[in-house]
This record gives sequence, C-alpha cells and structure tokens, in this order.
Amino acid sequence: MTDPTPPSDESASADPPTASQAVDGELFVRLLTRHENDLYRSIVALMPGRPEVDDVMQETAASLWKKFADYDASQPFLPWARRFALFEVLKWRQRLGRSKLIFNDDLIHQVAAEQDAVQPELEQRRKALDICLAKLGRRDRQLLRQRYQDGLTVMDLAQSEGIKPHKLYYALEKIRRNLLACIETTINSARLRES
Amino acid sequence: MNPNTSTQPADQRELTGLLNRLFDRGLEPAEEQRLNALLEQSGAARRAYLCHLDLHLELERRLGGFGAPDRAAAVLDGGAADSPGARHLIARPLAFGSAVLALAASIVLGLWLLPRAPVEPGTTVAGDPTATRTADTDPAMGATTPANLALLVGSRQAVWAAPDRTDRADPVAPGLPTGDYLPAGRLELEAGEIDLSFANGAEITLHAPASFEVLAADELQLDRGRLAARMPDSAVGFIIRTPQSAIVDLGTEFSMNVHEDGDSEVLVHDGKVVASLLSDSGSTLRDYTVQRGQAVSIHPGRSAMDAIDAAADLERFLLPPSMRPPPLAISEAYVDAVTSAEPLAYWRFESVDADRRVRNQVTDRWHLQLDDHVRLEPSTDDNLVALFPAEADSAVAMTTEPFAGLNREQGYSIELWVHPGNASWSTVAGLLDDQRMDASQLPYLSVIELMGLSQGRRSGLMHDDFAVRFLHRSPPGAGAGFNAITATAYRPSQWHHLAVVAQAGQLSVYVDGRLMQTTRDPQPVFDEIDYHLVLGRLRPPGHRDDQRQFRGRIDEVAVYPRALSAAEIADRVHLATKRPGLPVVVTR
Repeated sequence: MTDPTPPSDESASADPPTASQAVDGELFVRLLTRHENDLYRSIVALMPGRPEVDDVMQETAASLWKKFADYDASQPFLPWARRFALFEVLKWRQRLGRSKLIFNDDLIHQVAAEQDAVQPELEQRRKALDICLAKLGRRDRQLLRQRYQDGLTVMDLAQSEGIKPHKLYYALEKIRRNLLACIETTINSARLRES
Repeated sequence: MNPNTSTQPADQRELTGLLNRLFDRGLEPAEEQRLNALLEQSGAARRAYLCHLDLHLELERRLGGFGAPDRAAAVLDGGAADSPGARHLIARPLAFGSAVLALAASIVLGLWLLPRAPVEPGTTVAGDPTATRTADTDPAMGATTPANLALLVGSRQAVWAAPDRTDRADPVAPGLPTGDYLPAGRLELEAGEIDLSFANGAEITLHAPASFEVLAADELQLDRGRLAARMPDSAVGFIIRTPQSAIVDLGTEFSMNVHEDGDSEVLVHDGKVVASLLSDSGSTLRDYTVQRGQAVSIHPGRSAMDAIDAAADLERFLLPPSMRPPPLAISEAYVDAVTSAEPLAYWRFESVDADRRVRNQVTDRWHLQLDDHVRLEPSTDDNLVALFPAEADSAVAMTTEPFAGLNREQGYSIELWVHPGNASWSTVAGLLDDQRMDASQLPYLSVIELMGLSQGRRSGLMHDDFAVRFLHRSPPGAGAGFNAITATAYRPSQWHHLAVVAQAGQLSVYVDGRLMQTTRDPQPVFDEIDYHLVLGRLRPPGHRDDQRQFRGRIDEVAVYPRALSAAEIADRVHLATKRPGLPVVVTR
C-alpha cells in the first residue's frame, strides 16, 4: 500500500493564493461546490462514526486550495481531491493516536482505494433510490421520516413509539435491507433493458 | 455490480448488521474489530460498505434536509447574512474556520464558506422564506396533506360534490375558481374536467367522475377516475397512488384510469413509468416498467399485472395536454412602439450569434450574453423567445456592459413578456451593481420576481400567491428596500406582459397592461452607479444560485431611462395584437 501524494512542500503550501491565481479561484469554488457532497462522504467513509469529520473536511478544503495550482484541469477533480482527503484523514489519525478508532491504517487505505471505482455505481444507486423510496409502505416511510427528518435517536424513537429499542433497530435494519435489495433490482432491471 | 456477490451470505448479514448498528447507535470495541476484519477480507465487502454507507447518508440528505438557504436571497430580503440553513445530521454542509475563510477571502468563496447553523423543524428562516421547513413537510417521501400544493389552472364544466358527500371538514364548494389552490383532503369531481399545476412543473388533467387527494407536492392519490399527466424532468419521481397500485413517473406523459373495483390501467405516451402492484400493507408485490407506447392493467383482486393493447381502444384514455406552450405572437406595431419609445436596449431574441449574444435592436451596445443553458425557441412562425429550460440547474443572461445613470430622478422602466413554466417562486430580472458583482451581499438596485410556491409551500411573505414583486433598494445592497407586490396577478403556463416603473421613489408594477400596485419610497436615493441587467435568477453567471431560478420563457425585454406612462404600457399590450380583435396570447 502506498501513501497518497501529500502536499509536497508544507512551507510553500501555506502561502496565500497569488493574484495570478485569481482566475482559478472561481474554477476552484465551482469544482469544490460541485463535488463537496461526494468528497464529504468519502471522508465519512474513512472515519465512520467520528465527530471530527467536519474538521477533516475543512483541512482538506484548505489543502486543496493551497495546491490548486497543481491541479490538472483535464483530469477529474474528485479523485484528485480524494487523495488530499485521505492524507488529511491519516494526519487526523496520527494526531489521535490509536485509541478509539474504528479503522486501522491499512483499512483506511483499502477503503480509499475503492472509492473512485465505486463512484459511478453510487450515482446510479442514488437515482434508483427515488423509485425505491416511493415503494415503501406507509409505516416504513413514517419510521424513516422520524429517524432522519426528525433527527430522533433510536432510543428516543422507541420511547415515543412505546416499543422496545431492539425491535426498532431491527425495523430500521429491515427497511435499509429492503431498500438495498430494491436498489439492486432496479439497477439490474435497467441494465437488462439496456443490453 | 452486486457488491455482495463475493462475500459469504453469513458475512453479508453480519456486515449489514454491524453497519446498521454503526449508523444507529455506534459500535462496541469488539464490534469495531469485527467490522475491520470483515472489511479487510475482500474488496466486495468494502464496496458493500461504501454502498450501504452512501444509502444512509443519502437518506440523511433527503430526509434530514440538505439545501442551505440562498444567502443572496436572505440578504436581498433584508435577512441576516448568517441566516440558519437546513438541518443536517451527518451530511452537514461545510463549516470552515477563520483561517480558511481568510485564505479564501481574496477570491469568491464568500457565501460558501460561511458557517451554517442548524435550524429546527418548523422554523421559518428569517429573511428567507424559501428555507421554511415544517415537520409535516417531506419533499423526499411525500407529506401529510397540507393545502397549497396544487393549483387549479383549468376547469371545464366542473361540478364538485356537495359538501355533505365528502369527508372534508371544509369541502370545496361547486365552482371552485381557477387560479386557486386545491384545499387539503379528498375531493370528488362529479362532472367535467380540471387541470392541475404543481410547483415542480407537473401538469395533471382529471376527468369526472373522479375521487382524488393531493398528498404532497409530488404525490396524488386517485381512487377513481381518469387522469392524464405531463411530467417534465423537474417532476421525475412524481407518484400517482391508487388504492392498491402506484405509478412512479420517470419523466413522461401518460394516462391512467382507475375503476370503481380498484382495477387500473396506465398507458405511456412518452418516456416511461414504473407501475407497481401493492399489498394491503402498501409494500410492492410486483412492478413493471412501462415504456413509451406500452400499457398495462393492474388487478389487485387477483394480484396480477397484464400488458394490454391500448391502441385498440385509445378513446377510453384521457390524452395529456399538448407539450407545446401557448404561442406568443408579437406584431410589427408592437415592435415599432417599443423602438420609437427610445429604450436603451430592446432584445427581441430573434437570433443569437456565435458568442451566444443576443443583439440589442436599437444600438450597438448592451447586448445580452446568454449562458450555455438559455436557448432560443420558436413560439410562432415569426417569433422566437428565450427558453430557460426546466431541466437546467442554472440558466442566466446578462448585459455585456452595464447601463450608466439608470437610477436617477427621471426614473427607469423595464418591460418584458414572461411565460412561467411552473408555479415556483422565481426571479425574472434584476439590476446589479457592476462594481460589486462578486460581493457576497448582492447589491441589487431592483428585482422582478414571480412569487409562486417555494418548495411547494407558500412563500411566507404577506401577499397572495402568484403575485408579482418589484423590489427596489436604494442605495443598492442596503437595508430591505421597498416592495411593490401585486395581488394575485399571473398564472403559471401563460404569457404575461410585465412592466415595472421606478420614478422619484414611486414604484409601479403593471401586469398585462394594467397598473396592479404602486408603492412609495419616502426617501429615494439616486446614484451614478452602473448596473447590469440579469435575467433568470438572482445571481450573475459564475455564481452558485440554487433557488429562485426562473424556468420558462422570456421575450421582448426593453429597458428605458425614464418612466413609462400607464397609457404607454396599456397601448403596448393592445398593439401586441397582430390583428384587431385577436388576443395576443393564444391559450390552449
């Protein structure tokens, strides 16, 4: 496993953008705005369940800006940006030490290596989710809404619904399993039609 | 690719269970170790992890709310620059620190980097009614049944059920006027035919006898009756539910009949839909993708879906309204009248050059630069109009050079023809300070807006829906400015002539040649600032602007360095008629 290419010159990278970079500033904002959602998700995937995701995203964006002069605009932005995200996640991990971590270094590298390849499929899956959400029954829709829209924890939700938490965990898991299966079926059906 | 195919079924189940626990309550140390081990085993497991995680984050994005409010809109409305945005769970927007903020201050990051605080459900965001979100609103999955979701835009011999025959607390009286929203609850159409328009651009015609209910901004329950639907790309995902089936639109035109016995049938004219047979609990038993020219019948009683030959009996289906918008015919007399009124600029949108510029008809200055999304479209044999497409995230046009000395005591006027393509709140035009185009607080002198629905709900300002708003702010960018807001004044999907006049603090809005509203700014401030005209949205090209994007058609835009009189404006609409006695707008 090789390390990602980090910002090569830390002292140079701390320089503010120059006047000559002003033209690229709009491009940078446009690219980062377009890809911020996927970039953020890439970081979440490398440090799931960690509250420092926002901090790492912030550091990543700062690194991207410092090194934007090196970006080859003929190449896709997201894979380039993900290299910096990986580097920042590894830096965060070093700072934190080895306590309270979900993924070890090797696994972080392994997951990062899959991200670019799986990206087109994720986009397909998000489209299929439209159809699959619509197919959910009323009770399942209500449960998802309470969990995600109302922001209730499973414990809170269980209390308000008067049911045992483990039953609720199971119900949410079942809904997500069904959604995953529906997404698979929808994508496969589309492929069959296209072939 | 199926991300699970290369892992053992038992491992798949365990992995799924661990991930769900990770999302819902966090993992115990032993569980973390097990997750590490499973993911290290195979690339397939890691891909399954990425797919599962993305589902979770996508659910948070859709159901937890993701769109931050448009800061430009907040500023424009006089709201605070740090207005709170939508709430986020994991997929929060970025909240960058001061170091990055300072770093980026030299470029145009401005609004994007500002921290966005969460807002609780049901909170109306100060200064940005578009960010209103209530606990009963669920754009991703459908909502409970608020009113103001669908607009009645056409009614032909419609007879509604008497109040005692509906289960509504406030039933529709016979003769519900067009231009009004349908109220919440189930409705019974006993005779005739009606046309509904939704904020996402969906258009649905219903034929009696029909029993139906608008469930959400993108969902309609049809228990009985005939329906024809035209769904633009912006309405993809619209759901028609019947007692035991559902149609999910994938961008199409289709017809649907729901019979008394619960059987239904759907015929797709263009695009495709997914037809689903539902169980008693509402989950999907069977589903079928119905392509263009295909039809299926759905029989809940015997849990069957059959392909049918609709061509043999097309008449039993209601056909969708024409896709073509009503034509706008502009007479030579109209063109002559505008030209002789000596505007600074008059864009007819009859041609676009290689640089995507529409020429000013009256002088070789102030041409109009179109972005890549705005295009010209024939409206009649001899009139082209500018189309701001429904499918474009951003479409904008702006003058190639600013106007000097527009905001002076003698006043200024803007007139144009507009065809709103949907019922959404949108910006038609604005005048923007040339020297501060990149400013985070957009220094608009004035904005013309169509105040339709905002994300399927009322806008939040105290006015009738479908009003026209002329906001004037002098000096530009300071304070909230003054509004001239009409009473209900326009209809989506119809052409209207709009004119706004500002003179010595008096703001006037004319719709279809009639003065609809006048407001006075008691302390007008004049200036020597140069202003660009921007068409189609709040922000200029190159800037993010997710809200209030205009989708529809615009034509015959003129800017005058003086106040047009009421008589001039009334004459203008009259002159637009090609032949005496014919209306300028031919509606379908």
